Amino acid sequence: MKNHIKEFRAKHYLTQEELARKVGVRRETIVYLEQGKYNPSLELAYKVAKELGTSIDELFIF
Amino acid sequence: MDPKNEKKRFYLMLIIFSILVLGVVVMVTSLFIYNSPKPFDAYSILSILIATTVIGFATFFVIKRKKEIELGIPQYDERSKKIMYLSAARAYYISLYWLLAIMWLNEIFAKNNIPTDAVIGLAIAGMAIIWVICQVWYNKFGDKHI
Repeated sequence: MKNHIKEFRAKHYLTQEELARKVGVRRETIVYLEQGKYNPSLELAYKVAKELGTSIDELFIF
Repeated sequence: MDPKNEKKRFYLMLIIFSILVLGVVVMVTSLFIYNSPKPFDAYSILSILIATTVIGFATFFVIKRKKEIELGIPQYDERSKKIMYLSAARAYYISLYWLLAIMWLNEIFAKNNIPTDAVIGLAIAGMAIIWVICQVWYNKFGDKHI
């Protein structure tokens, strides 16, 4: 699923590892999320959106 | 106890257990080398190579996991769990065909006087390799089910 995680992450000056640690996943998961190669669970999508200060609707492209 | 510390403690215990198992494997391999006919025949060399490779990989992963535990990096998350389950299921399915192939080739093995334990070892090694390939494949390329 395409998304704007990379852009929002850059806005908050977060590295992939920092974001991964904040949402409780491995860095690889964030990498594949950003590349659109992995569809997160609702819980993870919510955590990422919350950490990046946005909503799931704005973060992911449905 | 704090759940995070409990998890950390659990994974550290797992690491200690892995080190103990590794120790046993190293001991058995050493005994095997000591008791093997010298000079080594092809079967002994192959067995030693396989054991050394397994020990090498296992040591690498134990050290890597220990470092990750100390850094507080989660050992498994939702994606890695899904990949583990999917690759295990796919590897099992493919392994059935591998074992059937071993069965069909049994006559050839018997004609060439290949011992039964070598055939069983080949079957097990094949299953392990299939699992590793599935794990790497799904990790790299994903799947629509992930």
